Amino acid sequence: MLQKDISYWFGFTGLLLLSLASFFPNETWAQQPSDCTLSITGKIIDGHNAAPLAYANILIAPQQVGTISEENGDFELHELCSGPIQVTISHLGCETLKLDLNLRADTTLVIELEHHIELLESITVVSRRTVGSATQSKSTLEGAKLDALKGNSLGETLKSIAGVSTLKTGPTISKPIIHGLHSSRILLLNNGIRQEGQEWGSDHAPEIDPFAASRLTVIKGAATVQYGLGAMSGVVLVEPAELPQENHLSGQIHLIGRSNGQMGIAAGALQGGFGKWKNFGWRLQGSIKRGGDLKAPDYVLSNTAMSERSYSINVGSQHSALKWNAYYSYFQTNLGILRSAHIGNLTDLEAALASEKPLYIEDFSYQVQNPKQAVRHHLAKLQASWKWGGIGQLKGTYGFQLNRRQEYDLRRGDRDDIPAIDLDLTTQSAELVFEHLPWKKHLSGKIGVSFLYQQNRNVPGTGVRPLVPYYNSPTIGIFWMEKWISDHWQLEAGARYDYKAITAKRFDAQQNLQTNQLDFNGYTFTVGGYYQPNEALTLSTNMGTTFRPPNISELFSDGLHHAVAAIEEGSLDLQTEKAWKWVNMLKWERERLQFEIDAYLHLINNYIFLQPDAEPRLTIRGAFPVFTYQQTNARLWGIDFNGQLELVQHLLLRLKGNWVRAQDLEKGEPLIYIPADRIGGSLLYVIPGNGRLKDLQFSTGIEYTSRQNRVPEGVDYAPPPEGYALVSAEITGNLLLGKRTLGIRLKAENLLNKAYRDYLDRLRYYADSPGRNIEISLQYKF
Amino acid sequence: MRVLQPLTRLSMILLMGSLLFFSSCKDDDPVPENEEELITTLQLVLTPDGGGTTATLKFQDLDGDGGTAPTITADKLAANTTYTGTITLLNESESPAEDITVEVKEEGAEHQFFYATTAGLNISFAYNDQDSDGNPIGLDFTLVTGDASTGTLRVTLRHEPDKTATDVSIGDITNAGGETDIEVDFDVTIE
Repeated sequence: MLQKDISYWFGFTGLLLLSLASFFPNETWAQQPSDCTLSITGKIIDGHNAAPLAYANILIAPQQVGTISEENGDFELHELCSGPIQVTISHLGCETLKLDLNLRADTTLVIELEHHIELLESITVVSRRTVGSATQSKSTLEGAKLDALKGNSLGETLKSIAGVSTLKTGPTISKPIIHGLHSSRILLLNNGIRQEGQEWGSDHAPEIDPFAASRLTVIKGAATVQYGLGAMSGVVLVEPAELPQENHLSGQIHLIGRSNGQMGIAAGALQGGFGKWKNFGWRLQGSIKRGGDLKAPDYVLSNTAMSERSYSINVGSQHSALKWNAYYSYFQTNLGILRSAHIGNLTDLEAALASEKPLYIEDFSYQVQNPKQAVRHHLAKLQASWKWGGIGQLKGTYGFQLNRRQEYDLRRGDRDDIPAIDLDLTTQSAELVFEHLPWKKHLSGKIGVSFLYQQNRNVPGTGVRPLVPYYNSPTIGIFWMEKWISDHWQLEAGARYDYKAITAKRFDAQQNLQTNQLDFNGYTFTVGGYYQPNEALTLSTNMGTTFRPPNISELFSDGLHHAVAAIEEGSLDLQTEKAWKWVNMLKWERERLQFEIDAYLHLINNYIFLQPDAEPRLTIRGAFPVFTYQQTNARLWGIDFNGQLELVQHLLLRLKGNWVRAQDLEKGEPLIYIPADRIGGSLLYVIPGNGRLKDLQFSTGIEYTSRQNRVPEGVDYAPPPEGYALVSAEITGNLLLGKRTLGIRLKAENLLNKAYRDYLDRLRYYADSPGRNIEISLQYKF
Repeated sequence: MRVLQPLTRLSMILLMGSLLFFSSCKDDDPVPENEEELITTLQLVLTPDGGGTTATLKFQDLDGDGGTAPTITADKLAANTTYTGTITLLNESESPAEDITVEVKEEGAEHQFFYATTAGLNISFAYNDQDSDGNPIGLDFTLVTGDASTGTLRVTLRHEPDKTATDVSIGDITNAGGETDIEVDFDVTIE
């Protein structure tokens, strides 16, 4: 009688875990002991006509707290403890419905009860779209764990996930690396839309504000079938909170101050409904950030000041038959690049390498000077999905993105205010996906088609020959995925075909226009299995093939890369990369001990990399080494580990580590720029709460990054830096202010002010990484 | 029947989307960008004080970085002679050629030339010009040759050097800092 159909448009920071979903490997380890501040809000509706059901009983076990739904079907339960719970919903004339949840964050449930007399079916509808495939290994940051990282860039935020590292260009620019690969080899989905900036550049950070997200998920596998070209090593899903369905106005204010760089960050969100229009909700969200020059332990890192601004508007309706959502976000950043990293030639680079300190140190300043990057990113999204009779659900998504990247250099004449690089990238994407209802209760799947059209324009007037050409590029993909879901196991398989074309126009040295037409296509497959013999143990395995066409820089680069004093040359002869990735996951979840281990093997044919040429090129600035993009066969494998053990009551030990090995199989030597081994441990003590100050926690941790000893010979300018250990400490608590809470956090990073350089920081030739930072954060939710 | 309305709505959204798709497909060719800061040619003209043959040292790379390799030529210098030197920078990819020397002179406080020799080449230098702060630029200089010898003469132009650092004003590049705009080596013979 009660068909449990739970929509995936859940709540504020919500993640719905149904009886099936409760063993989906989709959430973080962030289980806080005795964290009894969580809420469940929701609505009970008639699945047939979406009419609210009043006077339904909702009971939570084992706490034995309960409530009754109001006239409009709404209910709220507060001060719930995290951990496994059972929600029992009963209503006159209906059989009692029981939901097993593992509560980890504030959750919103929309529960559709059927008023028909039918047998209770097993719960089959899960938040597919938001959690992705069950057979893929994935980690999620949300709730308190994500709040604790707010204020960081996306790259820095994701680094707290095992298996994810950061590629940096000085302290202001960071990009995520998943299982050793980054940029064009991973995919970022910003609110369901492929983020399209100039992602080929290792010094081009993602134009995404983590404040706009309520959940960050990293899929650590080849997920091209579902998400499209580029998802070779993994996918980052950036998801905002679901829109509210109540009229009730709510929001939050978040203020952060940081000692290093004297940075101030303010963010806020406001959301509500539309009065009489049920199911309609809206949200406004924004953040501003301003910081001055950062400081390494021994000196100021001159010209690492930055400012950032972003906002988003979201409106939508969650009517059970038709859901639609309109979203617009704007992101703008203006960031300085370490002044001492601006060099003219190899002699300058050698001088920088020979010097202990950067060659350019000035007093602290908030001023962003040249060299600098100014980037603006607009993203608009329209999405609608509706239930199609008894067949399934159809979902259409349209996305429009405009990315403007301006890079300013130190130039001769009065040209400092003219960007040396000025790129306008417009991307439109459309996707139509049909998801069929479970067939024979077990087989569910989807079929979809996606289009992408991208055009890149060099804004004239830079006075510099463009780095990447004018181009137009359409991509078309079709895919089909099915999964068989049983009580303890799940099998999944999918296939995809993609076609991508590029028409590029550029001028040769004699200013003759040259046009190049290229096209690429290929098939992608995925197969995975998932097994949960009991509540504690989960095993999953997933194999995926992918192909990746060479990116615009690999094809067309021709010129000097200033930061590394090297000439980089693309090649039109490059073939698509073809890869095969196999990821296995073992997960154990008991009250006192939880851990997860990922082991993966990644084989890439035609792996594109920069190979140094024997002959340097003589220019008026001296001789430069020349690197050309070439291809080889590569193998990567590795292990990520993440675990938590309750030592005694209130005291938790957490451990995390990742190891990657990457080899050029043709040359028999390691690949360059692969993350060094990293291991971290922390202790968390929960101070039993009393009075108005609740959830008091103290934690301290140490993270060790080893020296990367596996590097190719004779390619890098300097040997990899030594390993380093960083100590951190944090104290957090919630202060009750009437019915509201004020979250307070005091955090110290690099507590011992250790001077170090990181192998994956491209500016490590020039300066140390930032020193100690003390951060205070206040978060008020209303 | 209930699905009809949402169907209509979604198809409208998709229609709008596809319209946007196609409207943006118009083709416009890119416009060529002139490399404004290109320096194709560096020329040192050395005039002997007591009369005699003028010597020229020239670096020329008409198509800029890449393409055809640059040509580097250096006339022989007379032993034990004092030369008055001037340096000229040109962008000869434009017609008429642009004289970049003027730009460097205008921003003299942010630029300085350095002249360095490898061991064995008997040459000494002295600056003959000053920027607005009274520090040398190095566009005009005096070059004095010693006994017959051979070696390399390196001409460097630094952007934003620290002109007040130790010995920078007498032509020692060691502490100059800044970044290199030009670095050209000439093989020089004194006879």
